[in-house]
Amino acid sequence: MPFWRRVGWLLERKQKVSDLQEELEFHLEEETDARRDAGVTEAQARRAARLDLGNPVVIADDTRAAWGWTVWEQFAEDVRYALRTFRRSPGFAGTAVVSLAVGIAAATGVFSVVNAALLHPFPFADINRIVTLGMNDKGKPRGLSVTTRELVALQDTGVFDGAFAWNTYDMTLTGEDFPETVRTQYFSANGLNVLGVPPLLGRVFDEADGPAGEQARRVVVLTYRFWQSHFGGRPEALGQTLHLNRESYTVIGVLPRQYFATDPEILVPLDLKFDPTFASVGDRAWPVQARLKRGVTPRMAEQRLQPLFDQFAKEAPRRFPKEVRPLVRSVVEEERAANFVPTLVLIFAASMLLLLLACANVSILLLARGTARAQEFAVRGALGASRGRLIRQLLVESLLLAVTGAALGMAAGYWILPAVLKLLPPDSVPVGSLLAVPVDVPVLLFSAGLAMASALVCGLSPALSFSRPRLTATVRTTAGVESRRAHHLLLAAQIALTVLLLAGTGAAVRVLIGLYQTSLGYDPHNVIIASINLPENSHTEWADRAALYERLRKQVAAVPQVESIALASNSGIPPRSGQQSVVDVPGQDTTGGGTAILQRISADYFATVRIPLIRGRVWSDSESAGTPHVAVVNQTMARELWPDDSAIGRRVRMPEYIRSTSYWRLPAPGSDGWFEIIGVVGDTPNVGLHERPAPSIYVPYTLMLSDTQYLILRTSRDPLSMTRSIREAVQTVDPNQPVNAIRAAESALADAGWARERFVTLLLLGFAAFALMLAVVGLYSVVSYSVTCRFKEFGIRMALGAGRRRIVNAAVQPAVLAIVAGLFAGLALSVGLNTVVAQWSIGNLNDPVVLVAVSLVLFVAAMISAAIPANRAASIQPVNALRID
Amino acid sequence: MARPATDRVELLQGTLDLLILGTLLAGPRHGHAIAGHIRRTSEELLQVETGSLYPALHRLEANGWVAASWQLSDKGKRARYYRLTPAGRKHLVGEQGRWESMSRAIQLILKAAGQEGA
Repeated sequence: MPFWRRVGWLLERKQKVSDLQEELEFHLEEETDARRDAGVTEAQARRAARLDLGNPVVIADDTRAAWGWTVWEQFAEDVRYALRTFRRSPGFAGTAVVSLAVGIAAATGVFSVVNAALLHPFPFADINRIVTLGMNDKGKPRGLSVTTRELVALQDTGVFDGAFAWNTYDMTLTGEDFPETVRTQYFSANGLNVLGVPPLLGRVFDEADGPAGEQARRVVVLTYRFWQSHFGGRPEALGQTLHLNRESYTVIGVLPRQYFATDPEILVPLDLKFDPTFASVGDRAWPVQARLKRGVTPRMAEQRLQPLFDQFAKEAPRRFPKEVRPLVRSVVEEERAANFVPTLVLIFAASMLLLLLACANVSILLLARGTARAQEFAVRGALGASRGRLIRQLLVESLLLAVTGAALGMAAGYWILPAVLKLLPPDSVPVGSLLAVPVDVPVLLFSAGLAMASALVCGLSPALSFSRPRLTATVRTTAGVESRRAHHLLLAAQIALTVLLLAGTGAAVRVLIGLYQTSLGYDPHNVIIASINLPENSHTEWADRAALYERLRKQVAAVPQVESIALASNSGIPPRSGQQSVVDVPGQDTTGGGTAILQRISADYFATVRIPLIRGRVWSDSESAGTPHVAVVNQTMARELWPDDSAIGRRVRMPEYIRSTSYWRLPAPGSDGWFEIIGVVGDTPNVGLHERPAPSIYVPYTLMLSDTQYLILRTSRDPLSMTRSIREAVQTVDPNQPVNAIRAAESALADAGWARERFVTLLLLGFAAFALMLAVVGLYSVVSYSVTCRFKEFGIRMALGAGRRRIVNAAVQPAVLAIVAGLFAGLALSVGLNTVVAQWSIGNLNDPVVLVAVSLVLFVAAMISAAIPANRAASIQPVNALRID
Repeated sequence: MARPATDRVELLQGTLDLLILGTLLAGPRHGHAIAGHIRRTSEELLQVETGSLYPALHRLEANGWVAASWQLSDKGKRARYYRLTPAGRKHLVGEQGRWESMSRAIQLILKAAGQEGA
C-alpha cells in the first residue's frame, strides 16, 4: 500500500474531512434531485434521500477508516487520555516514571560502557592492524622488550608499516608552586604516526624528533585533558615551555579529546640511543607495538619474524629464551581477553536484573491502580470498547511511562555517566573513546528498545487482567481478590530477584573486604611514599650519594609523627613493586626463567610496611653501611628455587651488579654480583593485586645507588596531612631538592588493583539500594491498595466486633506470605545461580553470612513498609467505612 | 420506479470493488453517478448502499486504484470525480478473470446438481 499517500493525507487532514463532508452533501443533493425528477414533492424527495443515505456521521466515520489512520487517531486519543490520567494521579505516575528512569539509566549507562569498551574499544584508525609483539616461550606467552637496535631491525623486516617502542613513566613538572608528578607516555618518535593519531592543535612528534641513535628533541605533546587543566584550553599553549625533570620541553601539539583520555597526561619522544652497556642486561629495552602491513595477518607476521627472533636469541640470550618464537597479538583481542570483560558482563547482567525489578514494580503499581480503576474499565467495556481496544489503551499508558522514563534516564545517564567512568580503574578500559562518545546511536537504539520492552513487560499483565470485562466490579467495592493474587505473585517475584541482587552485592562486598584484610601480606594503613629525583649529574660519587641518602633518612625520621622510615630504590610498595631482574642460581638452569622481582631497600623496610619475617634474619643498619652482599627472598622464591626449605645460606648472582653504569646507578665499590640469602619474608602482591606473587629478592639499596629514591614512611596519623613537614625536612638537607609524588599506600593500592572491585562493588551497591527501594515501594503500594480495596470489608468486620489486631493481620498477612515466599525463592535462586556467577569470581552467593544478612535487611525493610498502610487499616472508623458509596 | 427491497440482491463480499472499477471503465464519475450506474445497469437488482459506497471509494483511492479530483458536474456543481488509474485497470483485469472463473465454477456445480436431482 502506498504509505506516503496516507502520510500525505494525514498532513492535509482538515481539508480531507471537509472534502468528505462536501462529497456526501453533493450525494444527498443529487439523490434529492433524482427523486424530485421522478415526480415527488421537494420535501418528500429530501426526506427520502436522507433516509436512503443513512447516518452521515457513521458513513463519514467508516470512510475515514478507509484512509488508514484510525489506529493513529486512536493512539493519539489514548496518549491524551493517559496524560490526563497521569495528571490526576501524579504520585503514581512519578513513582513509575522514576522507577523506570533509574532502571533504564542503569542499563543504558552500563551498556554504553560495554559498547565503548567491547564493541568500539579504540579511537585509532584501522585498529585491527595494530599489534603487540611478545614472545612465545615453549607455549608460554611472555612480554617482549627490545633495544634500539632490535627495534630498528624489526622495522626493517617489511612486515610492519611501522613499529614503535613505548614506556610510561612519571615526570616531575616544576616551575609552579609545588613540583607536580605528571604521568608521561613515551613513544619512539614514530609512535603517534604509526597509531594514526592526528593533532588537534600544532603537530605530533615524528621520526625527525627522535631518530634512532640520537637524543630525542625536548618536545612534548599534550593530551586534551592536560591542555584543559594546565592551559585552560588556550591555543597559546603551543610553543610554551614545560620544565619536566629539570629539562625544558617545548609544547608542539595538543591531541583531540578521545586520544589517551584516561591515563597519560603528556607524551614525549623516547630517547633511542644505542647503548651497548645496557642492551645486554635489558635495562634500556622497551615493549613494542606495531602496525601490520595491509594484508599481513598476525600468524604470517609471526612466521616472517622467526629468523629475526632466532638472531635475537643468539645475541641476547638473557632476554630471549632458547627456541623463542615471536608472538603477535592484535591489541583489540588482547583487550577483549582482559579480565575486565567478565566483570562488565556481570554488571550488565545486574543492570538488566535491576530493570526487570523496576518493570515488576511498575507492574505492581499498575495493577494496584487498575483495581481502583476497575469501575472505569467496566464502564468503557459496557459502552462498547472491545478488549483489544482496552489492552491497547493500557499498553499506551505503560508505553508512555516507559518512554518518559527512558528519556529521563538518558538525560540522567548523560550527566551521570562521566561520574561513573571516573570510578573505572585507569588500566581496565582501553585508552580513549569513553569520554568522547558517552551516548551514540547504538546506545540510543538500545535505550529505545529497552523502553519498548519494559512497556510490554510491565504493561502486559495489568492490561490482560483488566481488559476482561467485569461488569460486577462496578457493584462490588470490597472485591478484587483476583487482582490481589496477581499483586502478591508479582511481589514475591520482585522480592526473589531483589534477594538475588542483594546476595550478589553482599558477596562482592565480602570479596572486597576479604581482599583488603587477608591477602595483602602487609599493612598499608598510614603508610605514604614520597619520591625524590636527584638532578642530573649530581652526587655522582657512590660515597657522596650514600651519605646524602643517609642524611635524608635521618632528617625525615626526625619529623614528629613519623613512626618509621625506609628507603627503596624503586617503588617499594605492593601491589606492584620492584623490577624484573636476572638472577643466576648455581646448579640450576635459569635461561629465560631465571628472573625475580628485585627490590632494593633499606633494612627497616619490612618493619615499616609490616611484612613478616618467616625465617632467618634481615640485615642490620650497621651492616648495610658496610655494603654486605646479602639478600632476603620472599616465600614464593624460596619455595620455587629450593623446595627442600634450604634457601638460607644459598648464594645467587645478579649480573646487574657487576657492570658499572652511569650517573643514575652507582654500584658500591667492590661488588662482584654474588649475594648470600639470609632470610625469608612473607609474600606480598608484587605484580598486581589479582596475580599470584612472583619470586622476589630484596637486597640492600646501598649496593646500587639510584638517582631516584623512595621514602616509605609509617606515620601515627593521617599521613597526607604531613606532606608539608616531609617537604620541609627534605629541604633542610638540600633546599633545591623537590619531593615529587607523595601518595598514601592505600590510595596507590586502590588505584592499582582495587579499583575494579571498588567500581563493581559501588555499582552493585547502588543497584542493590535501588532494588531495595523498589521492593519497599512495591510492598507499600500492594498493602495500601489492599487496604483501600477492603476498606468497606474491614469496616464491616470491625462493626461486627473484629479487633484491630485481626484487621491488621488480615491486611498484612497475604503480603507477608508473599514476602516470605519471595525470600525463599530468592535464596534458592542465589544458591542455584552460584555456579554460573562463580565463573566471574565475584564472590560466593552461597555465603550463609551474606544470605542471612540480606534476608534480614529485606525482611525488616518489608515490615516497615507494610506497617504504614496496616496502621491505616487499624485506624479505620467503622462508621466512615460504611458510609462510603 | 424502484423495485421493492425484497427483490434486490445482496452484494457478495468483495464484489463492490469490482463493480466500482468496472463502472469507471467507461470514464470518470462521481459517487452518486456510480451508484446510479450500478443500479440501472443491473436492472435495479443491485442497490449499492451509500454507507458502503464511500468507504469503498476511499479505500480504492488509498490503494491507488482510482484517483479523485474535484470537477464541475453536468449541472454545474462541484463534485468529486473518480477515475480509473493504470494500476486500477490492471487490478480490474485480474479480479474480473477471477470472478469469471468463479461464477463459471458455481454454474457448473449447480447445473450438475440440477441434472442429478432431475
